Amino acid sequence: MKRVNVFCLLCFAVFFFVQSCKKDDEVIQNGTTTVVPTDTTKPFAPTPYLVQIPVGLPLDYPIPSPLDNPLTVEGVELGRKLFHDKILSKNNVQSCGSCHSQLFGFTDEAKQFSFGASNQKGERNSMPLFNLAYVEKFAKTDHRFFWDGGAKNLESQVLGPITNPLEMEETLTNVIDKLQKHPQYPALFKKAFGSDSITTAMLMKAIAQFERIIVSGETRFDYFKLFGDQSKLTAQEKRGLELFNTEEKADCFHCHSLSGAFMTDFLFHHNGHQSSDPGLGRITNNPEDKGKFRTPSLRNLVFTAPYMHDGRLAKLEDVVEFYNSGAIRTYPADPFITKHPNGLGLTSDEKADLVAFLKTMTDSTLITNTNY
Amino acid sequence: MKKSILILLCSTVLLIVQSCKEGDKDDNTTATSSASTTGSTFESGITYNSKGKLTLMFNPTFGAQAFELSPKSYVTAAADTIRITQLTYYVSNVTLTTSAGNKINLGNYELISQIPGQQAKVLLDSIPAGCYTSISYMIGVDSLANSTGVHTGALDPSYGMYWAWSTGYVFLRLKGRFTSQNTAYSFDIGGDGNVMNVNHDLSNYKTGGTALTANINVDVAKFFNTPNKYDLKTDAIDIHSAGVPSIAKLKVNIANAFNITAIQ
Repeated sequence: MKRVNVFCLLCFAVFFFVQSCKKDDEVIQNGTTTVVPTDTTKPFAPTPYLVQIPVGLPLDYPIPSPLDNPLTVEGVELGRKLFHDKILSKNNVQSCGSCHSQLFGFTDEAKQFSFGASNQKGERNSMPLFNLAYVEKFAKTDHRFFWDGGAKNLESQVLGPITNPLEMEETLTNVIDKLQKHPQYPALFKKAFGSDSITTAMLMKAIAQFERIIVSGETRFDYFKLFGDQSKLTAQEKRGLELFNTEEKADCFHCHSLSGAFMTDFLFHHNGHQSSDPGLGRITNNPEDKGKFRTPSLRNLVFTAPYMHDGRLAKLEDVVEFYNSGAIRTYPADPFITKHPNGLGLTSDEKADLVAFLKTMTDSTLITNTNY
Repeated sequence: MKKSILILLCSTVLLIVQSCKEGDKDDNTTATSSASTTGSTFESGITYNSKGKLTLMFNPTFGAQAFELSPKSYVTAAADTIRITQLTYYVSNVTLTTSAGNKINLGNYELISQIPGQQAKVLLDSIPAGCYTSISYMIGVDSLANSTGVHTGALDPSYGMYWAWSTGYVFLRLKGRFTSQNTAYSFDIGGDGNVMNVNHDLSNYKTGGTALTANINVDVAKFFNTPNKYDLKTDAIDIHSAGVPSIAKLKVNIANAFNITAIQ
C-alpha cells in the first residue's frame, strides 16, 4: 500500500515535470498549474504585410511607409480593429469609421459636416481616406494631412480626430487606459509591437498602418490612360477630358494633374471660395496662406460628395459650376483662378461632359475591398 | 642663505598643495587664484577626470519670492496680478562644450513639471571625462523630433504637451489666472521657430568631481520682464499657435529666466 502510494506520487511528480517542460507558458504555483500569458521564448517577429497595388498607382515600389513603422499583418489588423472601434471616443459612441465610412470612400455619407461624440457639429467636411501613404512620399512640404495640412505624418494625424473637441473628444490617457483594460487589446498590441504595455506611439502606429493600406487606382480612366484602351471612355467622357486639360476651357490640370497617379499637386491653394476658414494659414501663420486648402485627389468623387473643405457643394455639377462662374476671381484666390477674370465660360454641354469625365475616375474596389 | 632658500621652497610647495586641496573642494573663489599657479587644481569650467554625472536641478521662483501655485498671487513688472496653475516645459538637447570647443550632445528629452515641493531635475550620466566651459539646452524640442514620430518616453503625446491639429510639441506651458482682470491667461509656446535656447557659461566655476549638481533658477518674474516687458493688458493672454506675435517677446524672456546659481 505504502509503496503504491509512493509510486503514484512519483508518477505525478514526473507528469508535472514533463508538463512544465513541455509548455513554457505554464508554471506550477502552490501545486496548481497557472497559465502565464507570456511567450518570451518566441522572438518578436511580425509578418510583413503586402498590399496588392492597383494598376493606376506606381507599381515599381511597395506602399511607402516609414522605417520605424513598417506594414505588418499584425499591425494592420490591429489598426483596422482600432479604426472601427468606438473605444477611441468619449463615452465610446463613435469610431474613426463612423465619419469615414468605406461605402462613401471613407467619408461621412452625404453629410456636409460630421457630428462629434457629444453630437457637436464639425467645421469641415470629412476627408476621403485612400492613397494616403503616397501623400507622405510626394508632398513637397511637411504639410500633409487634414484640409489645412496641420499633420506632418499619418502617425500624428491619428491623434487629431481622437482629441479634437469637435470630433471624438477623448483624452489620450483615457484611450490608453481603456485599451489597456480591454480583454483583447493588450495581446493584440503585443503581437503587433512586441509589448502588451500599450503606449500612445503604438496606437498611432497601428492606425497609421491601416490607413496606409487603403489604396485606390482601379478605374476606367487608368486603363484608358495607361494602356490606351479607347473603349474605356465614351465620346462624351473624352470631350470632358479634353476640356479638363485645356487652359482656355476648364483648366483643371494645373492643380489636378492627370500625368501622375493621384490627380493632385499635393499643394495648397485658395480656390476662390467664400469661407472665413484660415486653412493652411492657421498652421503656418503666414498671411499668404490664409484660405488655402489641400488640393484633393479627383479619384472616387462619385462616393465622396459633398465637396470642398466645408462640403458646401453637394453635387459634381455644383463643383463645375463653381469653377465656371462662382469662384472669386481676385486675390487671395490662386492665380490659376484669377487668370480667368470672367469665369470659364463653359456651355451646359461642356459642363455635362466634364462631369461625365470626372466620374470615370471611380474605383468600386475601394468600397468593396474586404481588407478594409 | 642656502637654508633659507630651502625653507622658502618648502613653504611654496606646502602652499601649492594647500590650494590644490581647496581647489578639489567646491569653493570656486579660492580656486580662482590657485588655478593659474598650479597645474593640479581644476581648470576654468567643470571637470570630470573620469566618466561622470551632472544633475540639472530646476528651481523656480518669482523674483525673490518662492514659487507657489494658485491661489498665491504675484505682481508682474507691468503691474498685472497673476496666479499660476501650471508651469511645464521640455528640456532637450543638453549639450556640453569643452574648453577646446568640442560639443557633446547628451540627447535627452525631458518633461519638467514645476510643482512646489517636488524636485524637478534632469540627470545626465555618462558624461565623458573632460573640462566643460559651457552647457546649453533647448526649452522645447528640436525640429526633427518635433515633426517625425518619436512619441515615446517624455515625448509621449498623452502628457498633453502636443498639438495634434498642427503636428508638434508644446515646448512650454504657463497658465493661470490674470486676477487683475478676472480672466485666464494661457501660454502654449510651440513651433519650430520658437525653441528657446539657453546657454550657461561655466568658465567662472572651477570645480569638478564625479557627480555634480547645477542649481538652475527659473525666475518666472523674468518671463514678464527681462528684457521685454510683457503686459497682459496689451500683449496676448492666450497663445495656442506658433505665430502669435507676442511669442517673440516671451521666448527671449523665458530663455533669459534660466540662470545657474551654484554648482556643487
